Amino acid sequence: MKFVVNGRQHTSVAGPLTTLLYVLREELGLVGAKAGCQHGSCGSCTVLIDGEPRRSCLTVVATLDGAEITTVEALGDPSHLSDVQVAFNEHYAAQCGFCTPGMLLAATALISRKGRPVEREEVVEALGGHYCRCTGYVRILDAVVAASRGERLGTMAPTALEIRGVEP
Amino acid sequence: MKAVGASLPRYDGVAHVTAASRFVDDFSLPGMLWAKALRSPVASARILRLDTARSATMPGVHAVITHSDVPNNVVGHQEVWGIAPDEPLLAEHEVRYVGQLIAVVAAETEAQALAAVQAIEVEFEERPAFFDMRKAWDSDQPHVTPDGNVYFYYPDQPQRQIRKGDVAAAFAEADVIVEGVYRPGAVEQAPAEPASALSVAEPNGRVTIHSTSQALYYSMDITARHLRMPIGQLKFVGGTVGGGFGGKIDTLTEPVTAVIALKARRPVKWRWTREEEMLCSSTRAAWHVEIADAVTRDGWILGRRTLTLHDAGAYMRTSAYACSKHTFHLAGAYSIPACAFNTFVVMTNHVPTAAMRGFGVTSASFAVETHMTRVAEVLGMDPWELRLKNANRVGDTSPSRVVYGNPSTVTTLLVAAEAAGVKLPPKQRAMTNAMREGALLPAHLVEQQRKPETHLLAWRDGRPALEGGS
Amino acid sequence: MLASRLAAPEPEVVVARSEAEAIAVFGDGAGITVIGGGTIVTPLLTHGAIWPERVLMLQAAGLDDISGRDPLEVGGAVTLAALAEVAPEPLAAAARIPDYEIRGQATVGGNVTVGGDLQPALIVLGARVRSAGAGGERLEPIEDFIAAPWGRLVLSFEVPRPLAGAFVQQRRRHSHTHPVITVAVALRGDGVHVAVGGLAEHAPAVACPSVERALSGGAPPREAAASVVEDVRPEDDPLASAWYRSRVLPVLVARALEQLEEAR
Repeated sequence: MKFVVNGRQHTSVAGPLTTLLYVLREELGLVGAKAGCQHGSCGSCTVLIDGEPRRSCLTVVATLDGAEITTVEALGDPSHLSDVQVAFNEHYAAQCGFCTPGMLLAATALISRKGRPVEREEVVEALGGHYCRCTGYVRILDAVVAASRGERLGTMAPTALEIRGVEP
Repeated sequence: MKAVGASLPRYDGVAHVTAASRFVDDFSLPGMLWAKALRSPVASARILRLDTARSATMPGVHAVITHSDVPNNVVGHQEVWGIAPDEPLLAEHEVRYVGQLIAVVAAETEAQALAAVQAIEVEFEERPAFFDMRKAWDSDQPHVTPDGNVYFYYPDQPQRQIRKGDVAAAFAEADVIVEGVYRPGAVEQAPAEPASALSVAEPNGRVTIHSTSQALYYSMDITARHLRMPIGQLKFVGGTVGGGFGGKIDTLTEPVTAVIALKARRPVKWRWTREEEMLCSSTRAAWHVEIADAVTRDGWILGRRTLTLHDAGAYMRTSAYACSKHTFHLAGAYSIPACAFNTFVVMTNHVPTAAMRGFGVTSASFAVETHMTRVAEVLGMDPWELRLKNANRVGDTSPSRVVYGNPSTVTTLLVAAEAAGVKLPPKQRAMTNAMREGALLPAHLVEQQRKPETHLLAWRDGRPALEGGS
Repeated sequence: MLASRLAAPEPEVVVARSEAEAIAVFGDGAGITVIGGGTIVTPLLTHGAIWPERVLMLQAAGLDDISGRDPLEVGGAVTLAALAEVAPEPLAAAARIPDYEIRGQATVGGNVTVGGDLQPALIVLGARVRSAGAGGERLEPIEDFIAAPWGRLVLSFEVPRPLAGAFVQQRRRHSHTHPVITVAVALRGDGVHVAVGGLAEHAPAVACPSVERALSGGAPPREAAASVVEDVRPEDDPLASAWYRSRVLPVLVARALEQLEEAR
């Protein structure tokens, strides 16, 4: 089965009922999508399929002919983070980090879908199926709203970790 | 200390948002095998027969392990504290809880491992199971352990106890006795990341174990004892944990994967499913807490008796420790001159219990604080006033006779009231931890503390009772 | 069962390219596992709960069309999200299951077959379902189908358009469990129809003739709602007790009927 992952053509040798989660992690070494429950209940495995957020643990290869997959690895890297990644970092929306990739992609898709700053309720609706046990969700909502407004506090220089307000 | 109060970047913040943080399941090694476990479907049974022969020859299977493969199968989680080892890593003669590990398979794919597990032949002779800890002393209940269902902290004494002051006198002197029973239930920590381990048998005899443990040295010690290896022969890699909350301290995945990796001579990864996390991993225990307070009409708590039952589940693990912690905290943040606390560890056929955020203490806090509000209701007193009155002050002693140098109860209550928008009268808002009304500690309370202990644990119908014995 | 697991490691997978092919491959439903959206079956495969020998996949079988207005014609593989866009109430509300990602993948056929949220809404709308299986193709009222859905391949639904509809549900929002209670009501030419679902895991939704009779007899919503307990047999399950369901049902039915009044 041929499909595109993060802009690159991939031919999977996996059987038709192999999950996309397995292909990403085991064939492609893209371990951002996580096996949190493998029931479609937690959202840790979410990736974008043709721009739409979907559970990779529920998606089998046979349904992916010609599909375009986007994983968290395509959102940005430390020297060039996306608005959503910066916002999650600045608002402490990631603690253990396990749910974070799924949240980032669902948030990115939401903002793209709306094409404008989003309301808190819209974030709850779009990310409501994503399970976080660490943060209590509030900072995640803050981050997504902030990202949708293109807000960057500038508090987290990714390469220069300076302690703010503290004399050396 | 200049960092206190500053908002600092998380050292792993960028790694989290770029998915560069490496959890155990993100590691893959050449030749790595996947593990799946056969677990008990029943709560209590003898194992009559266990045959892994067919599963061992199934496609993709490299090793199957049972109890006989574990160098030291029965280890206790707290042997260092004198608690005798009681728990097999892999079940031998019996199973004591639904989900207990019986055998583990390592195969080239998860599907092959799953199929091989389903091919393991096991026969059980089911027995009645014991679930209600309140019946721990009933003679008609099945026994979870050969020694019965109540753990003995000391040869002649099952309960963890605290005694301070003359509780009998306090109860005789009281205007009102307020009783309550509090039963916080079991809670599953449910971290987003299921427990996982990846073990590698190194050519030089060492074992490298990627672990989700919250307590790496603790898990190393238990693993070393199961393997009969010096601890220096193990290398644990971990610290990036996808949530633990107390549920990733009990040590099973590491020794199991180590044993099977050694047998298969290939790296083995075992990642628990969400079912295993929900059904078979340790939870916070259920607790049964009875409290009786001897109270004056103007709101002094003269004495407190408690009786706690803790559901340890099928094996001891860290329950003795939890119950010690729990017992220390049963006066709450309040100075109670006469205390008689009795806490029992009860074995049941539930999953062995563990910590969840505030091990042993959350149950005490919940019970004590709810009870304080109940006392206030009975007295017709404002619950803030009751708490401020009895709050710890400088020079007061805890139930275990620690003298408070700078207790924070008063400050905390006042800040909480403000945050909750509760308007306290000026006299209360002016309170500090150095003064009560007038005296630092009223004479009658000082007198109480000086009296010798009098409380004997009472027994009624063969069970420990909340009231005092004679 | 064990022998087949040992013997047949990889199932035969057929991606049907037409409705006719899907029907032919399905046959009488014996020995074949159907995957619509994949939200139900995939976890069963992942966790070794099922080991099918043959799998029929429906994503390319042309069963995902929606057309018409009254009735609305809905293919069995239409996603809940697509249905929510165009369906009348209460079906649109029922299809708006809280999880956005699951909504975009789960199918109407799958939802109906496993006792999902859509059942009571389809009942009150007087929907009919077209299915294939032993004995050939059938078109039957939804209540008859859900009473015995086994061995049937859902092909499409005919959904008449009501004059008004309302949907009330008690559930843990965003949980992936069945709801505790679901109430659907619709005003059609012949009066108000009421149906209830979520009575227990896997229990089919049921119509509420006692409530309907009370309403057509002129009883106000609250009074009519009280008779719902005569129509249902709620059960204990991990989500709620039968007792709880019996207490809550009349309240939710009354609420749905009151919402229907406002929607008229």
